Amino acid sequence: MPNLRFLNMSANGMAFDPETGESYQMNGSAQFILQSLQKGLDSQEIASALSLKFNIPFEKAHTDVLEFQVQLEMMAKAA
Amino acid sequence: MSNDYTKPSIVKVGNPLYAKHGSSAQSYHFVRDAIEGVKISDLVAQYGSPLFVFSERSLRLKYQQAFKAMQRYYPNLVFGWSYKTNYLNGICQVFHQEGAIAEVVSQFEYEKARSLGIPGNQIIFNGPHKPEGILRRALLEGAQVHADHFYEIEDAEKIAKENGSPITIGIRINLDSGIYPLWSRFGFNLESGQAWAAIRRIAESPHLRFGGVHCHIGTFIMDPTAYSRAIQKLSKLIREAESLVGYNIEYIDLGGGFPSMSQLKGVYQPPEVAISSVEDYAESIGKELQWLASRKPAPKLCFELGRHLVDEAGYLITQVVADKALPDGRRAYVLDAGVNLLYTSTWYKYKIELDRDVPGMMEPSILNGPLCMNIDVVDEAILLPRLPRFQNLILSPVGAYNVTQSMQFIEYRPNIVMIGENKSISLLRRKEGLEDLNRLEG
Repeated sequence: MPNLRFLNMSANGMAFDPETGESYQMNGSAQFILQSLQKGLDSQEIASALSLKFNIPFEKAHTDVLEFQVQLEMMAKAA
Repeated sequence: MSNDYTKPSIVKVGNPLYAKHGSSAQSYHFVRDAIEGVKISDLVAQYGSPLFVFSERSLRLKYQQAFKAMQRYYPNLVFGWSYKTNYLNGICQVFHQEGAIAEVVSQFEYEKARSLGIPGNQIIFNGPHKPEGILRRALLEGAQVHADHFYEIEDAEKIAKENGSPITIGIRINLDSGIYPLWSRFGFNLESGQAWAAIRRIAESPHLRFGGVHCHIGTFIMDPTAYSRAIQKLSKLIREAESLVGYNIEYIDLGGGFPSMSQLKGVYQPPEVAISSVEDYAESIGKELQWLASRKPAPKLCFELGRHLVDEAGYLITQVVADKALPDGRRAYVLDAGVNLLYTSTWYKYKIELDRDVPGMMEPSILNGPLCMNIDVVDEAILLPRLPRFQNLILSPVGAYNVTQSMQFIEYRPNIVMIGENKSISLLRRKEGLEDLNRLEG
């Protein structure tokens, strides 16, 4: 998992990567997933939590988590 | 599902699009929930997506504004509706009702105008390809024909000879009016003497009569003074031609080329700033034509406006089919309409509106069409909030050239409707089906 996992996050959705100096902006669901990743949860666990928090079907949450993880990987490679 | 859930989104700060848009990058301001008072959602529910929508009110208003502006300077004014710009019957009929004659550039368009009840003597026939059969019909029906090359002068002479009476014909002229690119491929070049040779060829034929000159200097001409320069050159030629033939010409046809309020790619300023008003064009043209306007009777002054009249009346409603993150950080959307319907997307950056306010942070995005072709891109750089599946987008202006040049390629072509001045909706052309395409095959 890329350095994005170790981003310093603020409450308003801004994040800073101390290794690269890059800053990121994210929405609420992205922030929730990233925080869950940093806690060491796997994608199924995160999807369950996301489903509960936002009252969305687990299947949709699972897709969104997997897709977002891929996006993080792509951003890390690009950085 | 929770109303406040938005799919996860993360963007790197510092994307050039943010720098360009500044604080506006925090929300998407372009929202349109209706066209001429009819809800976008209702239109999609009834006619599906994608869907071309035209406003009758806009068509009539643009025509009346342009005609009024020109009429201030010239008494004997004729507008020919440029069929190639949009030859849907319903669109042509609106302009004909407003008083426009037809301007056509092919056998197909000539036949279409005639089928709409336009008499031959109310048709201007331009273009580089006029097969002898349709040229004969047009000339014998009294159409205003502009020869594009010497072969057409010879063809007209032959037809007149066979018919036993002289036939009137004009010529298309190309010239350097100071704009780029120079459209030298159509008609006879003025500066080289080619136009003068064509006039002499007509004048010296006992079977032909010289009617007038046609000069369409280009498209999306953003400088009104280009028309002034063209008219100065044409005026000199007209005086010489009239001296040669011994009578006054019947008409001068300045073609079209006025821009619409579209955003040309590569032009930084928005169209509201970059595009001059139709009154500015009228003034530039009218002042140079005073010497003809004061004649009794003045020769006809013809215009063949297309884009300027119809572009802003046209909208395309399209829906989000899918989205994905690209390795370069952009969000890629798939729409159900692409370059198959938006031929002009190569040159113009459309205004893109949503039919509701979509909250959320803005992402650098690319809008792709539905074709399984890498070239199918509608907008390669736009900041958008994360759009859900089936979100309606409204693209405009798309009234000029997109319907006539839309392709039956991979996808069926969609329904096209017009919203009338009384807000009634009429189907201008129904969606294609497999039976339509199979009918042409063996």
